[in-house]
Amino acid sequence: MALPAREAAMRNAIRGILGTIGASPTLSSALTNKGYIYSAYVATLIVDGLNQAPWVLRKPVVENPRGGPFRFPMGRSEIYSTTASWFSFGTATGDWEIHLCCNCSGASGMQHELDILLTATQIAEDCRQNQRQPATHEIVFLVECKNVGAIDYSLGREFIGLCYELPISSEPAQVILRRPLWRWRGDRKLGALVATLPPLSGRPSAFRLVSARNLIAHSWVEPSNPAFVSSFQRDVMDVLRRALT
Amino acid sequence: MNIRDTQFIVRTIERQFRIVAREVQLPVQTIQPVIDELARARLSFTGLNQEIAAETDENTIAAEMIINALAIIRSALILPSAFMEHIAARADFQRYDHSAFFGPGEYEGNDVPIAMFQREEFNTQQLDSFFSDLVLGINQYIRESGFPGAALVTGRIAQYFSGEGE
Repeated sequence: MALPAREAAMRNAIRGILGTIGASPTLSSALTNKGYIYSAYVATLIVDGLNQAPWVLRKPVVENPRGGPFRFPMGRSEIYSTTASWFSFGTATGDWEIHLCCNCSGASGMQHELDILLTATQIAEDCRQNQRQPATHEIVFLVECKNVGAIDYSLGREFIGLCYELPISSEPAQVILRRPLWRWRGDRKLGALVATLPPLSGRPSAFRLVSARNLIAHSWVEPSNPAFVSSFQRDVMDVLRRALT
Repeated sequence: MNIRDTQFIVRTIERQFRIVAREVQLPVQTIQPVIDELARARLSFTGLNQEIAAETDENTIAAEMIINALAIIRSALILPSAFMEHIAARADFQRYDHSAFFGPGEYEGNDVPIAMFQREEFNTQQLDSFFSDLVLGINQYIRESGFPGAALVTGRIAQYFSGEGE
């Protein structure tokens, strides 16, 4: 069938995209893991920020299962799983770990997958020893990463719901020995929604909703937008400095 | 532009992806999820917007529907390359398991994958450039099709992907 002339430019661009992807086995495989790859990328941004933060006394290192190479999780995982790597670092108040794509039970008892979570090393160790998930109040900071195209308002609502499911405690995470009084995560800004694309113009914005509930919300966080990346890193470091020192 | 015109354009994009994927012999399981996602978004977008069409300018709906399709393509096909390149370039992560990205089994039994991943050219800039070409190509298609309101629609599409953010 003859190609209408007005479709030629469109098709040439599509040929370029698919030809480039087809030439790279990694990129071809990446298509099915685009969400997990984004979480891995965002985790490296947070670790970069921690590396430069003066209040981080022990700089982040990677902990690899069984001494093997670094492995980002590419699917749902457990904090006690032996298949994925994590990051650890230390501040004046203790040692901390960052894990990716871990399951956690919310206040309702329902399961949630957290793209990125930060918890005290003491708690993570206990989770590993007892093969348990961290409790909601043991999760100091969480990040939801979205690489799903233009962000719908409903994603903001989902994130607010997730944060209601995962309240924080009024006590420092490393000394919790009993179930504490729960507080809204936004009281200390301890959650972030981060995405590659902003909402469609003229629509209610998921990011404004999340910001209005005093949580971190950033769009355009991707390698081609260094200014947006820096702004996200600054916001996260500011919150973590207050929470971990 | 009305909803039918816009549906036609998004279906044309889906069709082009299907045809070209066959041409370049990309395995169907690689591209089919993206095409399915485009179709799902098109249908849900149409349903949603028929409800609000009475109070919203149709050209705005048209622009949003096409932006939505392009955003899906960008997230699924363009950005993973940039993320991989960023991760691979980091000195701290020089030793990590390639199979985490490939799935287990494909490269078992030797150390080649790690070295390969560090060396691999992800062609991120090239993909970015092809995506810009796609935005231009679609805008050209809309203009040449002579849809009413084409200038407004193409302007909104170009503005969204300019990286200005909210």
